[in-house]
This record gives sequence, structure tokens and C-alpha cells, in this order.
Amino acid sequence: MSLDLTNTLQQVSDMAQSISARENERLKRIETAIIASKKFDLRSYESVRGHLAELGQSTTVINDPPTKSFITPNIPENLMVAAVDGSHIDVNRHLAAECFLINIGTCLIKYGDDSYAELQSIPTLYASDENMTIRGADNRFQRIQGSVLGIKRHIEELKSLSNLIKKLPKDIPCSLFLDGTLFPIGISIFPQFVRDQFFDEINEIMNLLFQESSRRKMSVSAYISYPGHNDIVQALRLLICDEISGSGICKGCIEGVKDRDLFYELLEPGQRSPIFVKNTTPGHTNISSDIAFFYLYAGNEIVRIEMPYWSVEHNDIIDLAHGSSFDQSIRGPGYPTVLIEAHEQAIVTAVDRESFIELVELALNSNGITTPTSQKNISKRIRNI
Amino acid sequence: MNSKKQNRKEKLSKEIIGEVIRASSTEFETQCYDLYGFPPLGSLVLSDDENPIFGIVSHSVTESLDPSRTPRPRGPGLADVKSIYQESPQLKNLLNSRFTSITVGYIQSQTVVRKLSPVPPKILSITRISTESELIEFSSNFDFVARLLNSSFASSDDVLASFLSIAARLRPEPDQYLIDTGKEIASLLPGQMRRVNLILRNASI
Repeated sequence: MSLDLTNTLQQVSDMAQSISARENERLKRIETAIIASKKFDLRSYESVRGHLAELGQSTTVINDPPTKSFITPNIPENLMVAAVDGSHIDVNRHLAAECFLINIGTCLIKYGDDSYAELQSIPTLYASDENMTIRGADNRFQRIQGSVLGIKRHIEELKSLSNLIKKLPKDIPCSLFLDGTLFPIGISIFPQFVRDQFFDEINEIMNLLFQESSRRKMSVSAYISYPGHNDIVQALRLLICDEISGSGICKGCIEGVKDRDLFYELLEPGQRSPIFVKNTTPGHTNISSDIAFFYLYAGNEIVRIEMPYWSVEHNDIIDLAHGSSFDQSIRGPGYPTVLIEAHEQAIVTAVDRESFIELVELALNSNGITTPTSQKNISKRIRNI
Repeated sequence: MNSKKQNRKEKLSKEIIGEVIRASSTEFETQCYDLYGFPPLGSLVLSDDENPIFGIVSHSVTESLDPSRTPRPRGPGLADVKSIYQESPQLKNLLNSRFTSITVGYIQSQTVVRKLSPVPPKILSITRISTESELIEFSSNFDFVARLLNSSFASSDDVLASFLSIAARLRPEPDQYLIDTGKEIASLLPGQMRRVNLILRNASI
């Protein structure tokens, strides 16, 4: 029997009532966050940041009040827009062959004179022990699968983005997009040798992007739809929460409020927030992990745009990222056209996954290798009564 | 290769418009290289360079390459359809144009045979528009007419009329060509003068 929807319905209904009961409280917290942002004092915040930096705690760099907004800049008439997205087929222990596949979708659109588009899907199979394992110096190793594969895919997306630049003419401004965060989330939970390997790869890519950005007008934007971040709300809490300031316990203040809730009230469609910077190490810049970001009212929602930290020094690059992100979200509509098309190229459907398994089994059989599989897998394929 | 042969080869390659993606004994479907690159209804095309097969364009369609993604309106506010394609160049990558041709003959030992081909064209065979001389030669004999009249296509009479209109234009006396064809059609459709007249009226230049 499949999911008992009648039984589930009651539980969903209870959940909805519970959320509804908490909604007034949530709205009050958002209102408090708005007031706090209007009273935000840069000098006081810098002072708190300084104390926390001495304790080794990293906080968001805020150089302009969060309430400051910037209108949509004009974008160049002739513009290249490119995006990369990826998906993967994870290692399946029920399969006779241990392997995984990463499929990278790319989309490149030239707007203006002689407009054109190029769409591409590049699948790569990883099947050898060498490229399915990360090895440390002390014979430690980490198989690439599950969440490690998620990060590996993210890095492959970044690599594809840096390769895509080679296809772009140097004399036309270009705006590059990634789906989701600029840097992969969750690296910190892995052993040091795995982290080192990932950071080395990211570092190499970011250096390439940095060098390229000095040769052409180019923005790199990681577009996060419906972001769940709370970096700015946390910054506000540093100034208004008794618990965080060490003078008492938190009375509720603005905990639980998301940055998107705040900027939905502070921005008008097309406007962006100031640029904020997130350093992973207080007082140091790290090309492979530091980011600049802003929030943008993209018409239907607040989105978060993350950029490499060096972008913060170039207003024309920030304008390009701002203008092209808004323009793309309008064209979508709602979500950037270029990311939609890259996603469509990358997507691996359930049917594709089944076809992939059949392809692997056929290839093994034609090479004289039997393809035993688990009884559980067989029972999923043949659903007898 | 002499220059005459070279010129002919170059001319033919210019007329290549797509490749066969579905083929049966009675019809074949071609996917165009260019969006909206299909020939007009009733055009004579050839497919398969090894075993050339004649087809008459009977149905054309442009739609999304991915059936689960349907086009959405871009307006209001855009001046014309050209500006829509200029502003959304990816549409050319996401849509495709195809056309179906009714098989009406083939070439065997350099002779035109106006019958169904013994085998359909191979998948991914190139499809090209026939040259004027090929069209004149093919349409000089009316054996193909019965194939179109008996086709299961809903608008096969209109397809025949379009073909005759194109073929008549290439002749010094188009009206005489239509009169001659009309006699053949009338003999194939006894007691159906209204249908015959309608075909000829639609074919008239």
C-alpha cells in the first residue's frame, strides 16, 4: 500500500493550525527586525565585530546600513549571459558496477546584435578507483558518494563555469550564473584531507575566475531563490539581543526571522540591498571561501546573490550582477531564463536513471560480465502480488 | 570533379533542409535544421542519398522539443514576433520544425518510378527540396495522383492542389498542365465532380 493520505491529511492539518497560531508572533518579530535595521548603528556594530574577531568569531561585514537600497542599473545592450547547473546519479550499491555520473548543463545566451543561444549537456561517468576516491597522505581515503558527491558536483559546476568563459568574446560584458550558493555547503563536516582537496580545487577555479575578471567585464552570481539565510538578522541581533550581548537572556527578539523577511519589507521590486561580505576567517581574505552578497527584490521574491569577494571593489561589476539578475528573473519569468535552461540541460529524470542502469548492465553483459543485483532491487523491479 | 558537377553538388547541398526522424512505407517525417525551415505545403522533396525517395510535403508542425514544456506567451508589449525571437534567442534551441511527406515515388537506375518505394528512407537520411528539373520530370506523368487522392491524410486534396500549383508554375503553359491533370483526377474520381473542381480551383494560379 502506498501513502495513506487520509491519515496524513489530519497531521498536515494540525501542522497548518500550529503554523497559523505562530504567524502573529512571527510578524511581530519581523516588525522588530525592521525597526532594528532602521536604528542600525555602523559604529556600534563594528565595535561588537571587533570584540568577536578577537575571540575568533567571524561575522558579516556591513559597510552601509541594511536599510539603504539601490535602484536597478541599466544593463549593456550587447550582453553575454551564461549559466551552469548540474545533477548526478549517485553510487548504487545494488548495481553490479560501482560508479557515479555527473551531468553538467550549460546555457549561453547572447543578447543584443546577432542574438543567439547555445545549450549543452555534458555527462561524465566516474568508475575508476582513482576518480571515485579522495586519498589523504596517511593512506586515509574517502569514497565519493552521498553528500561528498554533492560537493564534488558543485566543484564540477564551478569548473564548467570557468571553462565556459573561454567561449565568451572578450569585448562583450558577460554575466555568469550558478544555481544556489557560490561555495558548497557542508564541507566542514568532512575530515581535513577531504576539506583540503576540495579547497585546493575551489582555490584553483577561483584564481582562474579572478584572473579572467581582470581581463574582461564579467560578473559571477550565485542565485539563491527563496534564501533561508539569516546573516543580516544575526548582525541585528548582535546589537539588540540581551543574550548575545551578554547582558541577559533572549526575550524572543528576532530569532527565527530570515533575511528575506526583512528585505521583503525594505526593498521595492528591482532594488537591491547594500553589499555585505562574509569572511570565513576574521581579518583575513580567503579567495576560496569568502563571499560578497546582496539581496534583490527580483519581482516575485527576495533572492540572494552571492559573488566572489573581489567583486565588492568594483561598482560596475556589482551593477552588472544586479542588473542582469533582475533582467533574467523578469525574462524567466520569476527565475533567471539562463538558469532555467541550464537546469533543463542538466536534469536527470527518473526515466534517465533507469535507462542509465540498463545501459550499464548491457555494457557489462556484452563484455561477458554477469550483473548480479540484490534481491531488494529485483523486488522493486518486479512488483508481484 | 569537373566544375559543372561541383556546382550541382553545391546547389543540392544548399537545398538540404533536414534529416528523416521517422519513416514508414507510405510517409516519412523530417526534422528541419532551421526553425521554420520547412518547405511550403505540396513541395516535392527527396530523401536518402543512397536510395532517393520522392515525397510531397503534406503536413508541417513547429512545437517544443520537450513535450512537457509548452511555449508561453511573451507579450503583451512586444512589437512583433521577430523581436520576441531576438529577445529570447534560446527559443531557436527549444523549438523544432518538422514536416511529413507522403511517399510518391523513388529513383531506380536513374529512372523515376511513381510508386511506393520498396523500402522507406533510412532514419537520419538527409532530406532536400527537389530541383526544378526533378520536379518537372516527376510531375510530367500523373501516376502519383492516385497515391495522393487515396492517402489517409485528412487534407490530401489540398496537398495535391498545392503540388499541382507549384508544378504548373514551372511550365510554359500552366493552364494546359492543370487541364491535363484535371482529366486524370476526374477519371480517378468518377461521379465526384465537385471534389475535382475544388482541387483544380485550389490548384489554379
